[in-house]
Amino acid sequence: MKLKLVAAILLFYLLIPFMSVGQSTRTERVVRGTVTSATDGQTLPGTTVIEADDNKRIITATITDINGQYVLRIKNPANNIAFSFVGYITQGQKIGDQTLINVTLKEETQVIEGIVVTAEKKVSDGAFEIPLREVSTAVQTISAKEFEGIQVTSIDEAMQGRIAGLDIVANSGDLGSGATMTIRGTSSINANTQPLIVVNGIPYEIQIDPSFDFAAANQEQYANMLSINPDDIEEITVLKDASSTAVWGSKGANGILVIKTKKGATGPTRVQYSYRFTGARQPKGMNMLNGDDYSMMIKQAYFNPQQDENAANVREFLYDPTFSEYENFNNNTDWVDEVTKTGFKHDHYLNISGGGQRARYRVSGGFLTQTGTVIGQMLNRITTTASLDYSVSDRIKFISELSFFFTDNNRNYDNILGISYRKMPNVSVYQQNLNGENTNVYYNISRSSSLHGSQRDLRNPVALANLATNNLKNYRIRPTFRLQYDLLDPEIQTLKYNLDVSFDVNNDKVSKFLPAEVSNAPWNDGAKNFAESFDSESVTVLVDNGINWQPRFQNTDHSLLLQGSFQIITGNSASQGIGVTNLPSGDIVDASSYGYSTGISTSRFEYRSNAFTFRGHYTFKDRYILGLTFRRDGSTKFGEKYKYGNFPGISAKWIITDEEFMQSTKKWLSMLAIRPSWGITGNQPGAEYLHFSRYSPYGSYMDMPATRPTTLRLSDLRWEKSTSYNLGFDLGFFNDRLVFDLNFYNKLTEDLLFANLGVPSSSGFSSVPYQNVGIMQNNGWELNFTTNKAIGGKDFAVDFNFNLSNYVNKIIELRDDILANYNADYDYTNGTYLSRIQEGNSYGSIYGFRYKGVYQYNDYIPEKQESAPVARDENGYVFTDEEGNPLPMYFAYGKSNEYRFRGGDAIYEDINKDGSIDELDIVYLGNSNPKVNGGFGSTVRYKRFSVTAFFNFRYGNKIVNMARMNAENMYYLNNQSISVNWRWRKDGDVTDMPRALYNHGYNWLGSDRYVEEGSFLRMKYLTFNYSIPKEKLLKLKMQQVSFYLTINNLWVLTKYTGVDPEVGYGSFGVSVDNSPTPRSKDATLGVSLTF
Amino acid sequence: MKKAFSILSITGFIILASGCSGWLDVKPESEIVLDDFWQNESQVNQVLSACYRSITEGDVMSRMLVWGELRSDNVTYGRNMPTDMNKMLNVDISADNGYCHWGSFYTVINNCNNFLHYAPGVVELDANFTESKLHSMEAEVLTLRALMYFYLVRTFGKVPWVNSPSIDDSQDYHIPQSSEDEILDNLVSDLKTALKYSRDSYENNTYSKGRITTNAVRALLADIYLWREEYNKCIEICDLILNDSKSDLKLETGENVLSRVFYMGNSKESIFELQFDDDQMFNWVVRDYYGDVGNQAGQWSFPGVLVTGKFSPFNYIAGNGKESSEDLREKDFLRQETGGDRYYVFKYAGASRREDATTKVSTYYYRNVTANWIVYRLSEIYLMKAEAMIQLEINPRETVELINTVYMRSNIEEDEQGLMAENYTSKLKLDELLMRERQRELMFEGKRWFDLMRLSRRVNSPAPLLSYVSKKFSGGGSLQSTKMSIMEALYLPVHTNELKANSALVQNEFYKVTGEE
Repeated sequence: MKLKLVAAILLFYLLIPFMSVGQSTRTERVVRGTVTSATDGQTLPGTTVIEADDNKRIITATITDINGQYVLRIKNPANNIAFSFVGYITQGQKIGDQTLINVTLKEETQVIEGIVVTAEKKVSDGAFEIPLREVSTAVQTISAKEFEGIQVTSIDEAMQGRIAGLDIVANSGDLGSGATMTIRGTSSINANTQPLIVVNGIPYEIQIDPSFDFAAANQEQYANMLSINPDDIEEITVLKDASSTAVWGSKGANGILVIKTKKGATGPTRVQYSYRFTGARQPKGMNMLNGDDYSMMIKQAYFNPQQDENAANVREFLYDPTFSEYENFNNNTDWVDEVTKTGFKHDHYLNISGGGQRARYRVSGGFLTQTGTVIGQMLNRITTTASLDYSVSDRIKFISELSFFFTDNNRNYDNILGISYRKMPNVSVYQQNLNGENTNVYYNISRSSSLHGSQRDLRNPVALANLATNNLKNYRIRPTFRLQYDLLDPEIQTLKYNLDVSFDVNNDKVSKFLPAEVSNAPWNDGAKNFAESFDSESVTVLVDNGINWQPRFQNTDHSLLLQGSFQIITGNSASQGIGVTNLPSGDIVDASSYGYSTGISTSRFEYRSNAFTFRGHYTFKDRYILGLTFRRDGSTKFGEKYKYGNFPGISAKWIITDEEFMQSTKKWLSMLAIRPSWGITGNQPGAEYLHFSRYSPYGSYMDMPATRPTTLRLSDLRWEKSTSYNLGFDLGFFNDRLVFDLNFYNKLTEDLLFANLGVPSSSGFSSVPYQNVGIMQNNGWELNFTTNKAIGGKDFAVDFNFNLSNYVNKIIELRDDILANYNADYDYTNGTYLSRIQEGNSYGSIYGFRYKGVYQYNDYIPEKQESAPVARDENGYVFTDEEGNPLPMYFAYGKSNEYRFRGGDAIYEDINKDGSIDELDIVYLGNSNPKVNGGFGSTVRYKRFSVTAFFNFRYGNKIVNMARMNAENMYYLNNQSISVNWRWRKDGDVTDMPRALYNHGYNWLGSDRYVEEGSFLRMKYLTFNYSIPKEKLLKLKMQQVSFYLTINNLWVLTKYTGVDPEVGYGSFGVSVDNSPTPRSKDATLGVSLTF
Repeated sequence: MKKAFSILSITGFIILASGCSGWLDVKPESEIVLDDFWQNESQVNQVLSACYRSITEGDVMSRMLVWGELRSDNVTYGRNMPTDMNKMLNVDISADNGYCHWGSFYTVINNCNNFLHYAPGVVELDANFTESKLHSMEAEVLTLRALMYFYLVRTFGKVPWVNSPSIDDSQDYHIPQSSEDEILDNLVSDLKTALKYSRDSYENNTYSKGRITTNAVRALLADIYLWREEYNKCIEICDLILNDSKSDLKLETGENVLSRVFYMGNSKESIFELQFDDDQMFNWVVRDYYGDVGNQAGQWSFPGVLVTGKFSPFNYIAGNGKESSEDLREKDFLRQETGGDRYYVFKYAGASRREDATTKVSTYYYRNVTANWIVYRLSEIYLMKAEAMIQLEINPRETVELINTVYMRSNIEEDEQGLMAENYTSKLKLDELLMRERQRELMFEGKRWFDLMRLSRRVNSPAPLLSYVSKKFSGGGSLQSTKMSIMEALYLPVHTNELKANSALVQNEFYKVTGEE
């Protein structure tokens, strides 16, 4: 099969020489003449004079001199001569026998009136463009125009909520932390779930280190999109069903984002500059206790477990002036306030574009500088792109695209905000002298303090933010060269050859330094003056050869588009890290300095893949459409048996409204089409060389160097394979003023990849990096609705857009040993939820106890003190022993950590009524997958003024509010939220907040107390846009001036008590809110000028 | 046009060239794949070295100490002991205790299995690699593997027997446990093979101590015989070592034991010791548990109640005599906490001790380099033979003499009489003497728990073991004793994760009842 195609391609090449036979007669001759202007009869110096063949390939060229005269040595009299001058109409004629050719050029007068251009909107999946109305797969396109005026650092922020079925969750509000994207739900347990990003037909991915763990959600990986300037993007197409993503075969299972960047357009040089200024503020998070309330609470927490005054005699909380550190422990520090601030962003963007018949260009440069809402964060980014299209002739075209990105991101060394929420509020930021005045030294609690290590050794967050460094520098260069060659005259039929060669060079450099001043660690501690540095570099080269063929049929009912291509990707990656500690001072921050080495690590790998793709698109009578896709992928990631994978896709569309019998409804029903499709796509494991049994160097024993076997050979490893069906409907009403697009899908993922699965360690190994283990299913639907000038006319228009999607995820089958192996036993500790995966259940399920409030009394007295910790049967009757005493309620009765509940302790529902709260009382508490999510927006335009509002929402998902759990458990010395002021203090108190128990009891078991409804409606942005009328600009020689005002994240409507209900998915697909930096509320002022 | 043609033909060529499937065979750059390995003698040597090296890993070392010593009457809480270790110390053992992981031992075993499976094939590929070289190396590897299994069997009772390399994930790794006898039979036969080919010594002293020699094979075999209660065979093997004319094994003098044997290492009496060095492999386990110059108080300490009092092996009144009234080992191996009542470990942690002749006050010098770990040394061989003779109840006088050999070098006071046979007239008394001498001589060498296990195994009851161990617990250890009420309780449970990963495993009966539902 493949050989035949190769032969066919070769045959084309062999034919090429015969196409140029006609050019063999050539005689060199000189033609001369003068060029004058028809307007005033003046000569035109600087006019371009070219000799071109019939394909308009330039053979020779010259420019007229100061007198408007030229001399041109021509190659062939059969060619044409053409004269062009800016602002004049280009003239051309056959050369023939002429030796003197004088021409008069007419001035171009741009009085164009009432020309209506009707262009068919086309959709491209990267390399294959077909008209929008003929698209038979599930795709959705969004133009970057829609985001005009919205301030975003990366495009994923703007896309949030815009595409039905594309779920985007920002990882945190930290600068450059990126977003997690999922198309049509999670279809993999712990392989990659991010969609593939394709920019101008080339995959935009960095091959990551095999040791990278996807579930750990390393932010650098997700910040990939950061290196594309949103201003350079023209449109984004999201490919959702397998029939469309099969084109990218083994990488398509998670869906594909196709990004098209802006290109130069024919016309005079245009210069556009825009500037946006943004101020951002963090939304108010949890209200934390002040120092006084905190000390009171801690003293109770110390007292309660033992009921002993002495236990609460901790000098740090006694406010005793004789204590030498008294001044440092008598404060009311608002740590959160200390580390948050208003962030600012300046975003400059300049682009120059233009071009003529032969060449078009676009050059852009962006500079962005941003400070975070948490102190110590700063991001600088430079993006530049240059693209040049040059048509050698009407049939040969070269395109070169070059982009360079640089980001310099000063990140926090640690989770500053997280520490601030935990840090004791009675401690001062700076060391205080005897008069209670701040010195200029950051205060760290002494190591000799008797406080628990978790608080004593907690670093000073202000010092950490200001003194420690954690810098990431990223350079990325992507040059792409393209050649397009029409093998046949495009006027007759299209047979086009494409060659794309693309490079992607990515370089990351992380430098970290932890100075001595931020902690109380002893002088020889590894975390004192600790410098680390990591470098990684990757290079990817892609070569794509393609043939496009569009035959012309005599019978115009038929239309056919075929494409075949062969793609090769090869790349390598190398990284190294080094760390030294105990550097002599905080001034030396370089990891190559002389200190105690904490280790050196290196890794390098190489990968290759090749793919053959075939695509066909057939249309009959413009209303019966059939699409076919086939890709055969080969990759170095797999062993002999599974080196290649086949990924077919098929789709069809019937445009019913074009049928004769639908003519009567055409007036109101402008489009009704049905689109069934089917396809298979794949997903790869995240590591190389898995199919080898490998030996690696292993130090030495005595002076004998050692080498050992390090990996098991995974000879049976296969692609994760997703088969999906899609049924789509296109609906248009009133001449497509209202457009609906509806999809139903079923996606079945087989051979689920499962990472780091335990094996019996008697094999000598603890885990297998990847195995194919089961089947998962996602069913869902998506609705997208847009209007096109729905209301209004010339001056006034209102438009709407709305999208809604839903999916149901289900684990169909998993290998038995996985369930046994992966589902941990209940560990009987506070704060943990039992995580499980179960056949027939959805991924992302939460299991825990049911919380029923707080025992009001310690001792049970019938009728009087009913709310007491006693065991009851299903009718609510209290169990008693032989003597009639009520039986107490226990936690983990009979286990080593048995605990008897007391008054003021949390009540958990004793589901099986056995008087003991244990794993048998754990129930299903909900799921982290939303029932529906989506977004809607509206634009109102009045003359030159417009207002756009956009909202996104999620409904029906559950979130584990771990942040609240940590701020209400009163178990450690961590600061707590003010809600603990309502805690149970003495017998009879009616409250939902248990008593304070330092390091004791089971008041914060994983229960529904912290599982919250995550539904929300967010007003994502509100934009005002005004552009100054053209007439007023003429004097200033400007073409366009517009102003913007955007307010982001104006309000969120939610019952969720955390700072931000938008929480991503963690391990087992469960949303756990660990209170990362929340998304800021911000306002942007912008101006855009075009010359 | 010509240019275009050449571009097209080049790309056409690329298509053809890359169509070959060989293009997709990329091999790692920083590792060697199995197919390219096992080509020459040097690679064989490297895997041999890896077998040794993997035993020096902290995960293995820590278990050799914890399994062999922690639960015995030699160890109590020192400072900053990890939770899991502390739980095990207090006999609060559940199947999720980290020290119940046996994976690191099987990693060594897998290295050995790889060697034994592939090394023979190299003989044909590399002319320099002769059969005799192969056999002597196989002897080393068989012995290392046996050592690992011997630890596993003594700790868990039944464990899976794996003797083929793990190469491919399609192999069946769900291997059930084999009985103790089955495994020990295998070990004995392996060691007998090893004895045929093992070398008596190597090029230099470090190699002769750091690699398996004939006497190392014998010592392990003798230990196994003692465990299996095959006393005659044990005596036979011990005699081979004690009467070996080819070796220069010799007891160091008592004053030099601390610094020569444990600080400097590779002493004359050492039979096999794992070699550590500061650059390659630091013995952090010994440093953390016993201490060094930077941290003189280790995680472990010696029970204070056993330093003095009637249960102490020192100043022990036996019949008319008194054992160990001025025993060097009491001063050299232990050090009382300054201003405290803990007795921290000085064996391995110390470099030397100087005693002021007049004031009798000792100055302690700690080590600042890493320690080797002694697996077998000569004095244990004397005691193994003595133990076997006691059990056979033969020649008590010679038995006491054997023990005396070890005892006398550390009791060098002028008036020291040595151990008198007439003070140890019954088997029980001899038994107790031997246990005291083993405790004095071999404390903190990862042996004591297994010594006590042998006692209990002989009567098939935890009672004898408990009589020793319970003394270290405050309150007489009644709580702890209930958790060691049956023989199965003396073995560790199979770790929970292991049970989950391998459905063919059966949990130790004792832990099934209390740990599992």
